[in-house]
Amino acid sequence: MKRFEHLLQLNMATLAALGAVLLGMGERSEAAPLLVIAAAAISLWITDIQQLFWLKQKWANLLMLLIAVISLPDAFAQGNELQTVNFARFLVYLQLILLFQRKDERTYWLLVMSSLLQVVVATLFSQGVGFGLLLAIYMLLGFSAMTLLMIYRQHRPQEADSDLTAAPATRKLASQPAVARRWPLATRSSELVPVAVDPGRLGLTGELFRRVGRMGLQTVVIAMVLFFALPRFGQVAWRSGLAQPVPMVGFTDEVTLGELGEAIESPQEVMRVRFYRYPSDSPQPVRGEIYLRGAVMTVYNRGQWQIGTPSTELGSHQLHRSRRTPASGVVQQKIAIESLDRSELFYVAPYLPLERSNMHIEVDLVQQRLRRQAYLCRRRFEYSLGTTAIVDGQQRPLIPATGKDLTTDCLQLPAGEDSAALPTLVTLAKRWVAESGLAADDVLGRARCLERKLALSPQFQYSLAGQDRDPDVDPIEDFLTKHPRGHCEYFATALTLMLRAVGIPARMVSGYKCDEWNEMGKYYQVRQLHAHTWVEAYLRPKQLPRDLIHGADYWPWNRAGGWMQLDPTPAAREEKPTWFTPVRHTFDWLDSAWSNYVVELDCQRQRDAIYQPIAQAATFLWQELTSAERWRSLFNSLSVSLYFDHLGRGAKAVVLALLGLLLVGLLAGLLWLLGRWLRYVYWGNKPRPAKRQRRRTEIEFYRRYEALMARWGLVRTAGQTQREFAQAAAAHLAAREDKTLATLPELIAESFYRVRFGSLPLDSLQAEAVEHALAMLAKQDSSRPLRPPRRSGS
Amino acid sequence: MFRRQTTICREGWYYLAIVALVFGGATLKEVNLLLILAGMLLGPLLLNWRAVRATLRGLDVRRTLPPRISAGDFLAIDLSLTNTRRRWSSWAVVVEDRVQQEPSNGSQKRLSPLKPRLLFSYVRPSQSRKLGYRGVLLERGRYRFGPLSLTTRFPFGLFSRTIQTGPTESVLVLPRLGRLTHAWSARPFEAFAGRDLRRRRPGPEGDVYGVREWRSGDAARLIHWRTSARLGKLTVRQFERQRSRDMAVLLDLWLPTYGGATQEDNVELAVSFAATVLTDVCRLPGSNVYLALRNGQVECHGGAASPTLLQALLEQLALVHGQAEEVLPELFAAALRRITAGTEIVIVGTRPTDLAELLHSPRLRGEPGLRDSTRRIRCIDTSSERLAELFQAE
Repeated sequence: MKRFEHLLQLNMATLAALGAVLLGMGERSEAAPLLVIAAAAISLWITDIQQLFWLKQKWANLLMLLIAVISLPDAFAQGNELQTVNFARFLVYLQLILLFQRKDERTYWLLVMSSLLQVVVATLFSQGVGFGLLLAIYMLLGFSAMTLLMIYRQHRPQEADSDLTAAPATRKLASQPAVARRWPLATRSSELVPVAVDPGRLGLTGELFRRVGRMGLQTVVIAMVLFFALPRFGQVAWRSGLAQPVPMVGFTDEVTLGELGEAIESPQEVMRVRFYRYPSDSPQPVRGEIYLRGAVMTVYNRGQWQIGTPSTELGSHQLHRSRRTPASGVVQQKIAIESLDRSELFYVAPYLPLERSNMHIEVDLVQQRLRRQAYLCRRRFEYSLGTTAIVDGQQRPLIPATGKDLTTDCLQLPAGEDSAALPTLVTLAKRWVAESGLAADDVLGRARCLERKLALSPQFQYSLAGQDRDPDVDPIEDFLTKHPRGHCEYFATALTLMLRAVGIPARMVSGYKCDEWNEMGKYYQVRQLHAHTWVEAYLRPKQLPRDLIHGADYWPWNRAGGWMQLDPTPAAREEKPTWFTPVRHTFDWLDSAWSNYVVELDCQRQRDAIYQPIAQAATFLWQELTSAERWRSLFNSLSVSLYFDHLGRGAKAVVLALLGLLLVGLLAGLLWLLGRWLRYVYWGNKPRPAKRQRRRTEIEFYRRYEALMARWGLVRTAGQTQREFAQAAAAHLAAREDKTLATLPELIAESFYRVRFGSLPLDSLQAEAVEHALAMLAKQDSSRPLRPPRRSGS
Repeated sequence: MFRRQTTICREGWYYLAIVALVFGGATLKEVNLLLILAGMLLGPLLLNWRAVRATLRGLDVRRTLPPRISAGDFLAIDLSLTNTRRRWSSWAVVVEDRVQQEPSNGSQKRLSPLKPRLLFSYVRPSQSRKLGYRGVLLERGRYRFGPLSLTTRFPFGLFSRTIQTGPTESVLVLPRLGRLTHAWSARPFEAFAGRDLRRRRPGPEGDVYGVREWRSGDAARLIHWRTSARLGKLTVRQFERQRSRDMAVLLDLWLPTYGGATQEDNVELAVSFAATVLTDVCRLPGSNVYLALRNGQVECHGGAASPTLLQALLEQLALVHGQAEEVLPELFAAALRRITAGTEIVIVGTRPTDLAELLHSPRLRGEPGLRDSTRRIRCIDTSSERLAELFQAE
């Protein structure tokens, strides 16, 4: 029993720790889980196993009261989120006290309940698939804990009773006060106590835990059915408003060189991008890297990039849905962006509004970016836009200019056009262009030349490590002269300014560059570490490379020109796929499915993903079953296959009818066998014929009894019931002074009624009694002369 | 009688409240994850409800009762639980027996039942497990065992299912036997009414027919020294059994309507004394023994002494109870109709017996054999402190 208790204590401690971990995942805080894990481990050892220390009940109560007084007023006084957080903390403190109490049924039960409430609170904060997986593990641990607790509860009273097992009666009764009575037994009272249970046979077998595990699977099915079947209402996803947005660490709309220390490559998911052909909605395969534009920066000053001033009166407006269906060449990009602390939306440029585009997108013409409304930042947000940049499965690096986005900022160098501020940069740019020998009108060639110089020159190295810069010079000058190491912002800045130095308008773009294609889910997984900056150089209409132009029906290439996408950042070392890569992809896919169909399930998605497919399948099945044409065609093909198509129409119908009957019979037989097998497997019921046989055997004793009584001269008449016959027989036997025998007919009759009409089998003792009675009658019978039979009823 | 009942336990109600809270929160606050959690919490409720029904299916429980028992004797009862299913084991099945004393005719006393409870932790498929309970039943009478209740809360303790099954059996708890003192056997006729028929005290009865090894309690005068010396261990002589003795015991269990504990004790002493005397007499082969008592109606049972007769008489004594009416003349009359001449009559009563008044009772007027029997009547009053000289209750 001691080992069993330790197992229960270990299970409870693990459950408490896991509950706190789930809560910590939701709150994004490590304090509560660490505290509870430590407390669970310590209390398991010193309170439960070693029993060195425990909180007495009164101290525990006092502490609980104190915590309630301190925590709960805060929980009710403050805002919604803080209320929940405070309540969660109250639960954590409560659990700490419970862990250090001496455990009994009540303590265990409170531990389970407090842990469960922590998980309830955690669901209000959490959203990832990791939470879902841990929730499933928690559920199994909870099942195991509740099962062990139930066994523990059942054993406790048994143990208390069997403390007196050595001499149960005497020991227990000796404790009762003796009263002076003449009849000695009157001083005591009757008592029956159980014999001690062998503690080694508690049934903690693998089968028990397998069964609990099976129940876990069944529970998941029940939860899924309930979850997906329950109709959602409203237009937004059923998601808690308490979920914390993820801070965006890679992307920014104001770049400051040198500000960033060592760049951290966070694998935190930012968004998932899927491509579909429009309007057919079939998946569009895409290869290679994609650039997702976020913000455009045009003004540079002393290492800082800012958004430039608009050339005309620009504002912002809501994205209008397109009223016309685009012609061919448009690819739909469906993007699901996580809950983030910034409102920017990213897209493959150029974008086109579609009929299905989200209405909650705001187009910021001043800063040339898309935003979602602020209240939507706390939720996962999905939007779809069209684009013409995906051609033949690859993104084209050319973006149409609108005419309004070409501002003087795009030609500005710091401190005017002279080379005083960035002497090395200007000199280097001009030298590289001169060395290339390209004509002045070959803008694209010159731009590409500068891009290659930066990207391929061994002089410049890509590095995420922080780099000390000379504070007296511009950071980009320092990068080009003294410390040619840096990340994408340095390379992009250098190229942008070099292009401007040679007279090519250019701007810097920040966003995401992603090459992580999830084959399982058919989407690009964009993470924080994919944040990137690149360069766009302006090309006049005549300078545009014709082979890169796309969406000619939509964009004014010949009037406004376009922006050429250039990326001077040297390619980082390509990550080789490892054994973990498919695991990670699977996990990502699970996360995507979890987000789409669990956390973000709303009315529309439920209808599309669940109700409609079921309705369609049912409709299809019904149509198939009720379609006369379908049946006729099936019969025709059958008749050809079975070589009786040459028969007459009537004969063919008969054969087909017979075949149909055979099929129905086979199906019925299969169902019958299945039912029989299930009964056998699950209930262990014996086949019915055997049951009948058993009953026949059991009533056989009455036939033997009648045969015996016939030898006594007693025969049951047709209208006489078994009971009446027994009474007559008893009277007959009593008259012969065989009073002992006189009771036997009634015993046998009662047993007969029990089996025949009560459908109750005789237990071993009853069967033995009946056999004994028959033996007595037979013995008595043999010792007496037989009489001729007579009708006992007469 | 078969009865099945599934109930939700107290913990189940608490759990249900939490499920309702989570489900309500999920639908009102529109939180998908809470809804998933509500489904996960709902699962154990449904599965527990199903599991308690499945766990008790296919279980067969049998009780092994001793054939007979005397009040105060150590009682051991075994219960065997058989799992007739082929695949599924059963866990945590509590079997509760119910032991209730049946009220005998006219008895007002109704004791609360005893409910020994056994936990069968684990029974494998197609296997049996045996557990038992022990104790004492201190009151004579008929006890009904059963029905057996099988209860389980497996696996989560949220639901409980109980089925009542198994045979209802009864056991007759016979009166407690005491010990007759030497004075009883040495002076059998000392208390005969109206006479002082002191007989020569008999020695060890009968002729010597053999020897046996000495056992604790044997009198030293029975030791056969010559044989003891030859064998090197103490050996005692064995005598033929006592000669036959005919005896009728008239049990007058007078108990006032508002009698207290003392009167009840007197009744029990009288029954125990009568049982002891009858047991003693039935050991003598060739004796005739009778018992007159009122058990619903006045009856006189008896015949040639035998273990079967003794069993029948003890069963009568097990069910007899005190009554406030005057029944002694009727008992006497019933006995006179059965006994033969020379039969000793022992009146065992719970109060002093006025023999003269009894013999002149109108009920006995004209009864044949009355005059002859008056010389062999012996009255035992269990309310008297002198009972201890003849009998010691144990």
